[in-house]
Amino acid sequence: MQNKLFKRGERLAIAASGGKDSTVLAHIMTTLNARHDYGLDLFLLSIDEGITGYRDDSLETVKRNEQQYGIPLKVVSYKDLYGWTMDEIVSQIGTRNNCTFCGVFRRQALDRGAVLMGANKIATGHNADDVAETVLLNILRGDVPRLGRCANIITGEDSPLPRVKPFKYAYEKEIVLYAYYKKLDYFSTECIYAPFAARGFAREFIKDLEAARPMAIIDVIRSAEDFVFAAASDEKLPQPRNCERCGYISSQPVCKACVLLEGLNRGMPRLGVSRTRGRHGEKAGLHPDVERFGVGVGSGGGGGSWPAEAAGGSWGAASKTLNGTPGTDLAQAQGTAALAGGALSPLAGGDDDAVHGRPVAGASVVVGTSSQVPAEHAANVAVRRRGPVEIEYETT
Amino acid sequence: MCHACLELSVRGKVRALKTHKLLLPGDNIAIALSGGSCSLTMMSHVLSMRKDASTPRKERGKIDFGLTVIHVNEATAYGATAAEAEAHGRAVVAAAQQCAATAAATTAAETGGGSTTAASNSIGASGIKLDVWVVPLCDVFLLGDSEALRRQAVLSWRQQPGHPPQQVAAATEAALTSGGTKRTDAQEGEAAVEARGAAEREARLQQLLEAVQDPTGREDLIHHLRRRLLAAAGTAEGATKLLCGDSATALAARVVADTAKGRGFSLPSDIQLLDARGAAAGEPTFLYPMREVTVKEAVFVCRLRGLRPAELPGPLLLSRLAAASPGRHSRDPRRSINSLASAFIDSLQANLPSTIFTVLRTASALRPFAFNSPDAMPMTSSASTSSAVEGGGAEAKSQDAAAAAAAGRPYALLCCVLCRAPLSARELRAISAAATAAAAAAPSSGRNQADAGKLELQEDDDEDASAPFCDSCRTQILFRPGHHEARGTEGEAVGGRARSLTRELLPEALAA
Repeated sequence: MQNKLFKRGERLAIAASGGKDSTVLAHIMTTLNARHDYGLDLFLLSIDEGITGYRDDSLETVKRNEQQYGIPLKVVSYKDLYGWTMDEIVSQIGTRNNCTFCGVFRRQALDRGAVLMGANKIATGHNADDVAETVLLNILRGDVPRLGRCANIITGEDSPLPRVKPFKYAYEKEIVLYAYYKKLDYFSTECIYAPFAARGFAREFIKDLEAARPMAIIDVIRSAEDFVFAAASDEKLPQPRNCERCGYISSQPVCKACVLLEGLNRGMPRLGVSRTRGRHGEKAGLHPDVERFGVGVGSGGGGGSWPAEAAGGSWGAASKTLNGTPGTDLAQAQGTAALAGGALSPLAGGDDDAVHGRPVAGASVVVGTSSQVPAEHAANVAVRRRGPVEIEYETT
Repeated sequence: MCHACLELSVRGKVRALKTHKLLLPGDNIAIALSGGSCSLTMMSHVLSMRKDASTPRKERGKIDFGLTVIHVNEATAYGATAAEAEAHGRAVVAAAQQCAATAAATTAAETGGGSTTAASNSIGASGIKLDVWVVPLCDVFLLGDSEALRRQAVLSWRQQPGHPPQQVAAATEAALTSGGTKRTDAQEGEAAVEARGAAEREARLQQLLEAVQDPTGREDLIHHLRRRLLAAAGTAEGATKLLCGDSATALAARVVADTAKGRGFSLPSDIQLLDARGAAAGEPTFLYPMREVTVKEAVFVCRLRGLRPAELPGPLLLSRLAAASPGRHSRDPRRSINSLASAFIDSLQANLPSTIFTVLRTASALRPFAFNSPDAMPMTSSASTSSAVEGGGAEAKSQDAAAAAAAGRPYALLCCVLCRAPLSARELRAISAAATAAAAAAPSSGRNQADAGKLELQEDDDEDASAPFCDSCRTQILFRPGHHEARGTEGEAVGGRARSLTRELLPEALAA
């Protein structure tokens, strides 16, 4: 753990799920911090995905950890951030691709939570088995860029919020035994949606490997570290930029979380998940005009009368409305409907507002639009401005 | 896919060799025939590309090249008895002959077949003209001695149709010594010596294999030995290219298995179309034209063409091996990583047929080595001191001494002595660190006897650590847990178990 993972005085967020890895991580970090005086400022960061029977129980564990280790805890929930819980997502899209949603959302949630608390680094409890499974999965998926990165112990070194995996070389068995002998308190049920995961195949293989040769797990990680990729693929790798909607780091114009949310809200669950081409053959994801018009709609047309608004209204009942501003969403829906020309169920809920966020300029315009939209505009919409660092909550 | 399309696509892949100028007129080609469906399919297609005297009229697109079929018989390594091994060898030869006959028949049919006599002549002709060698794996101990290899090639490897090997040996000897009854005794004596030598080599092979404790390591060792033997046999024949029938399925499994063995650095060297690693030593270039054909496709092609593969009943033999041999090999519950990887790929492929190709595509994103490019092939016309790209940059530079030793080829990347895998920077660092440590320890050697004995073993150990083996070979093949314990106790007395594999058991040429 001392190979230059941490520096003195850093504020470290420990990603805590309540499971064995994060509990052991919390225990070890606090112990070593005290014993060797690393000078690190630790706190626990937990994500509530909204999976009943799983997450709510594990959150209790994390709260107990907060007491036991004496470090503060911050809980961030999908509901607050995105307006959807995992249960709702699964009911919408089924069990086939839900892990995608959960993973993408969680990553953002962790980052936002850490930023909220002013952390410099995030430490996750990924152990050797996890990293080996990831390597295998990436090979099977053909995900070359990730393959080159997934075995690194620090990812995102150059970003404002790097993430480290101190347990990268620790076997899962070792962690379990540590927790057992130290009688640590952790929650050990697996996610109720887990049996449908693709990772399960890789996991089974890794377990077989371990039975055949325990060293093999570490060997997988070493192989991944040793992989030398042909230079040609480097140039085709996407460069990091910022999402146009929410400002989060992204390799595409709009970050994956925004794309997924868009899909959820519009009742297009395959958006961002399956490899579809837009009408004009552009890449999967949001139609580029949507982003512009999404803004444009907000800015230009709040007061205008949209011919199909009434028709859209009838859809509103069918789609999801959470803490909704159907009005604004209809306006935007019309914008997109006009573009895509298809039958899209209208956007639902303040989620879209939340996701839509603001581009750097023209922020106030959106707010203005929201306020212009008549009656159904619910009071409990949280319009979030998301820059890279700040998160402000506004309720109008 | 209908059978015509299948035929076409597989044929196209093999013919790609020609379009990429990898197969040229005047080449001397060797085909590595394992007897399985993939190598048989490959052979069948290569034969159809060949122009020889039996081709009645000028066939456009056929190339004239010399052809030898080499089969490395590793049946005994998997626990078969000698008789079974021989039967297997014969089965493979029969399969090869049948393949040739079928190919000739197809050719004859294609060319609209002249008279029937011409057709039957051509069948007979290609049956005879097909040069098939059966090389037992134990002959890997002859490596390094090219004289012995050549002698062996003449004596027992080359198969004449219809003659069992012993008779061939006798017949050839008769020819060599220009017959004469007086020589009978000498001939018999020579034959006896030959048989003894073979038995001795066989015993050595068994001893070597038993010394390896890890099942995966054993399989890999067999694989490495087979490759070296193929290369040597090809060299003895004077072949410039050696075609192996490794299928896409096998390659995908190898990607996964190699990842699981920590061979991430050398992985790209084994899965490319071309492998000219041994070109500096005069070995033929290895080509893998079947790398985009799955086993399933190959099996279908074999069926369509009426070819019958002669496969080693692997699992049967292995289980017998486990049951028969005493000691640690029996009831070894560990499966080999290779078989695990194979099963994994097969099960994924059954549900998602794109698995194999996705895995291969991912692996193709890894940068291949200099000896994987066609530039690394020696030019058939001129000796090549050409502009071969400096391979592996840092490694080559830092190991200049070793590089110079390898015949001054510019791309002499330091490779594991056993498996020929390029060594990564990390492995090289460990090796040179061990070498310097050993060198430092040697002068300050122990004063008393016990110390000296211990130190000797320790030096052996360090010697092993500083010998150029890749990590994978070291841990799975060379590693002997008894070794280290023996070090602590008496020196010589435990010699039986603590023998260094490198010095005692491996074929000399490999361990050098």
